[in-house]
This record gives sequence, structure tokens and C-alpha cells, in this order.
Amino acid sequence: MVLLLQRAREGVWPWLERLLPKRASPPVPDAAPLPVRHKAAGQGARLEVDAARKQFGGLVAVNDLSFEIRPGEILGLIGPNGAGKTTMFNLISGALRLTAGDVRFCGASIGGRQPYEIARLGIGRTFQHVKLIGSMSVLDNVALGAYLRSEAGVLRAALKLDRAEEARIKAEAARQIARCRLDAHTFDAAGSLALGRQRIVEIARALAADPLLLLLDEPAAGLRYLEKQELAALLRSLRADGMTILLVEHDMDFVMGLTDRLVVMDFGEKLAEGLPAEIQKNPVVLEAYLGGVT
Amino acid sequence: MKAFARVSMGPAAFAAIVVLLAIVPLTMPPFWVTLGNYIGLYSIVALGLVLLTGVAGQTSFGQAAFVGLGAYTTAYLTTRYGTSPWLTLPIGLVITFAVALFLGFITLRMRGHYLPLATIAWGISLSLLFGNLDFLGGHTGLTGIPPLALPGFELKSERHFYYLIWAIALCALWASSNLLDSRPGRAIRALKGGLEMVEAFGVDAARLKIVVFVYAGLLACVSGWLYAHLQRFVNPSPFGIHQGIEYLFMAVVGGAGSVWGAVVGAALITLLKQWLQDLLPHILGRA
Repeated sequence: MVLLLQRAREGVWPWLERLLPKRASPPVPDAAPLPVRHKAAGQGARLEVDAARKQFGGLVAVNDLSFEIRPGEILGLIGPNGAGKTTMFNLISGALRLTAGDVRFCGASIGGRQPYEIARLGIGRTFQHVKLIGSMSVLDNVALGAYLRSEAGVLRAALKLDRAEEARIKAEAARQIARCRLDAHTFDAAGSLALGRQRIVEIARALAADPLLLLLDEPAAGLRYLEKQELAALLRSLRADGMTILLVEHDMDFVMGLTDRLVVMDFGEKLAEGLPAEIQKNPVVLEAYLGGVT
Repeated sequence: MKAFARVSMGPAAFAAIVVLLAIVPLTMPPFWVTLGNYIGLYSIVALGLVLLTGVAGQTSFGQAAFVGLGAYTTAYLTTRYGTSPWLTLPIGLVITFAVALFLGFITLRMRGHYLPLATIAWGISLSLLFGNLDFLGGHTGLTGIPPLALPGFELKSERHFYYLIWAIALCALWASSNLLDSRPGRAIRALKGGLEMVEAFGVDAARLKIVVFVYAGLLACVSGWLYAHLQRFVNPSPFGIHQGIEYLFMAVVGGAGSVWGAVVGAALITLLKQWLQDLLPHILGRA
């Protein structure tokens, strides 16, 4: 028994399974699209952060920060390590609760809402540390993103009465995978992909939820140069489709060529805001990043 | 590709297994039929654990208690009130549903070591309860449980019962593999990726864990109902924590990530136990 637990964590079955003939995964059939969210063509900001504040005990991680994201733009939220970027990200996604202030999405307050409520409203996200189910295929991982756009329950699923909806979910997932140019990996186990590809699978998964706003938490961290370029090209093409994106990033080079506007944070406060070219010349920003050596 | 083969199996392979199972009682001596019956009963329970522990990542040592709930419900109602066994199954399922819902509600919010410990706690207390309630026959148990009967036909022989057990086991396997390859199934498989992740896609993780827990409990209850009518007698010992640990063994040995692992695990553990019981006296008895 002990030997088994050490040698074969997954039990005897996977070992037996290898003896069975392998079946090729059937191609994903085309099916009617899932219901699509009404894309509000509002003029106002997509997301407004209004004097957001987060304190952990005596530490003020985010100090009365305000900014807005306009429809169809890529906004970069940058800053040195420990500036409070990820905390701010979590305040928007609902993983953390605001101490004070408010966050409004398409005009409606989402401060203090649960993550699943925020997801339902149309905010998709990725994770700084990739959170995919490695043993599941890329297709299944992406299909999880469409959870809220479908409704089959346990009973319907167990009795196989969900096949029509299931086909639509799979078709939608396949479409998002193609949109992210990952078609070649549709049936591969997500864990077998390189980190750069896994990050893109996370984006495809978020897209499968049909979001109005995409939150990306340090998507370029740990990527190689070519992977970064692929990622940037993908984000540009999403913007061309009208997607609004908040990019929380540490890597200055990556955001400079990609974003429409930048918000720079340091010590929980807003240091500067503006076009990438302006930020690049801003002496306050340079000092924060280079530690005043210049 | 691997992930696909894991949750579904080719129709040809499935048919081969059905045929293989069907000819066992026709060709094998009764002893093997009895073993086959137990393997079927254990598979149903282990299948629930594969989903709960292997897929959803929630360890439970207390499944035997749910088997006991199913067995005792039918034993008590059929011997005391003469209720039809076909009626006691839904009653047992309702009782198990209520108990599993309650236990799931209070224990599944625990994480780390606390959850298995909590399942051991209620596993022990339920089996003690069976042994100490006078109307359930105390530690001697209840005897004289009627056999299952269809109109004009009693399922008294083990060979007949074998087919019933395996028909139910295969239905459970079919339903469970369907479940895993579906919208809720993906969410259940994703629970291992952390609550923060699944909730970002709108999954109510706390509710989903309880759903899986209840599902596993109901499977265990069905196994208990079958057990009571196969043995025609129940006492508390097969529903104790020892058996609960054994069920978990089966799920882990077979392969806690796939539905067929439950059958493989149940078969291996049952056969191994039998084999050791034969072998050990030879080794130790002469020492």
C-alpha cells in the first residue's frame, strides 16, 4: 500500500488505461453560439475606481487611489514591486474587500461584491500564478470559463440530457481557443504547455465568459521575449475587437508599446497618470523605478 | 488527450466489460459470485469517494456510515413494519440526503487536516449510534430482512442478486462519468485549482462541494440497501470507521481520478484481503 502511494499516486487505473487502445479526440462540432451579453455602447467609463482604500491592520496598501478605464482601451497599472498593484487588482475582482472608497463597473457599484457576482456582471480575469487544471485538456479548461453562460445541473448532466448545451459550450470554447491561436493544443493537457501558452489559455478561459472588461494580473511575468511578443499581439487583436483591458504589470518595456494610457503606483498611491510617452519622461516615475540613482 | 480518455471510455470497451461481468455467474463457482457481489457493492461506495476525494479533493473517512444509513433504514422498516423494500430505498435516500446535507454543511467548510478528522468523528458516532439504539437491535443487529422480490420472483439466489448489483453499479458508473464530462463536472474537477479560481468563473464552490458530498452519500446509501437485502441481516460492524478507511483505500488504490478506478480498487482490495486471509495462516500458523 505504501509502495503504491509512493510509486503511483494516481492509483492503478491510469496504469491499466495505458494498456487500452488510445482513442483520438473527436473534433469539436460546430454548434449554435451561447447567449451573448449585450455590449453596452456607453460613453462613460467602463470602470471607475473612486478613492479606493485598503488597509491591512496599520499598513495602507492602497491609499485613496482613483482612476478610470474607458471602453476599448488597454490601461496599464504599473509600479515597482510592493506598490500595491495586485492589491488594487484584487479589490476590483472582489478577492479583497475595500476598506473605504468605491469601485463602479459600467456605472454600478461593485465594491464589496463577491467574486462570482462580479464575474456575472462581465469582468473576466487571469491569475498571476497560472491556475489551470493541468490534467484537463485545454478545451475543458476554457469551457469552464463559459460556466455562467450555461445552466445544466448535476442531474441533467448525470443523465446525459445536457448534450445540446454541452455542444454549444464546447463550440464556444473552441472559438475562443482559435481566437487566441491555440488551436493546435485544443486537446492537449493544459499542464503540458509552456508557461507562455498557459497564460494565453487563461485569457481564452476568461474570454469564454464573454466579458466586458478583462483584468490581467502580470501576464508577462516569467515569459521569454518571443512569448511576450505573442502575448502583446494577442492583446492588440483583442483591443481591435473592442475589448477593454486592465493590465497590471511590472515589466515597463512590455506595457510601453502596448497600452493606451498608464497609471503608475508607488506605496499605494498614484504617482502619475498619462500616455506611455509622457510617463517615460516623467522624473517622479523614473525616480521611483530607478530608486533615485539618476 | 489523456484527460478525455480518463472520463469516458469507448463503447467497445464498455460492452466488453458488460459481457465479461455477465458471464461470471454462469461460469464461475459460487464463491466467486459472492466475491463479485461484494466487489460490486464496494465499487458503488468507492465511486462516490472517487468523485468526492479523488476529483473534488475532499477526504472522507465516514462513507461507511452512509452505507449503514441505507442498510439500517431498510432493515428496520421491512422487519418492523413490513414495508416493501422497493419503498425503503427512496426513504433511505431521503434520510441520507438530509443527513449528508447537514453533515456536509457543517464539515465541508473545514480545510486541511480538519476535514478528514471531522469525517472520522461523525463516522464513528453514526456507527456507535447503530450499535446503541435498542430499536435497531443494538450490537446484535436486525435479522430476518426479507429478500428483494419482483412480482412472482424472489431474488434469493446470489447469482440473481449479482445481476442487480452490477446493473446498479454500471448505471452509477455511467451517470458519474457523464457528470464528470459536463458543465458541473468541469467545475467539480476545477475545485482542486483553488476556490479563488473557480469563483472567478461564477462557481459557488461551497454549494458544489456539498452537492458532491451528497451525491457520494446517496451512492453509499444504495450500496447499503443492496447489502441489507443480500445478507438479509445487519449489525453495526460493517459500517464502522474501519470499513470507512477501507473504502478510501479502494478509491485511492484504484485511481482516485477516474470512475473505473473505483471498480479496480474495490476488486483489488477485496481479492487481496481474501488472498491474504488464505495465505497468512499458512505462513504464520506454522511459525
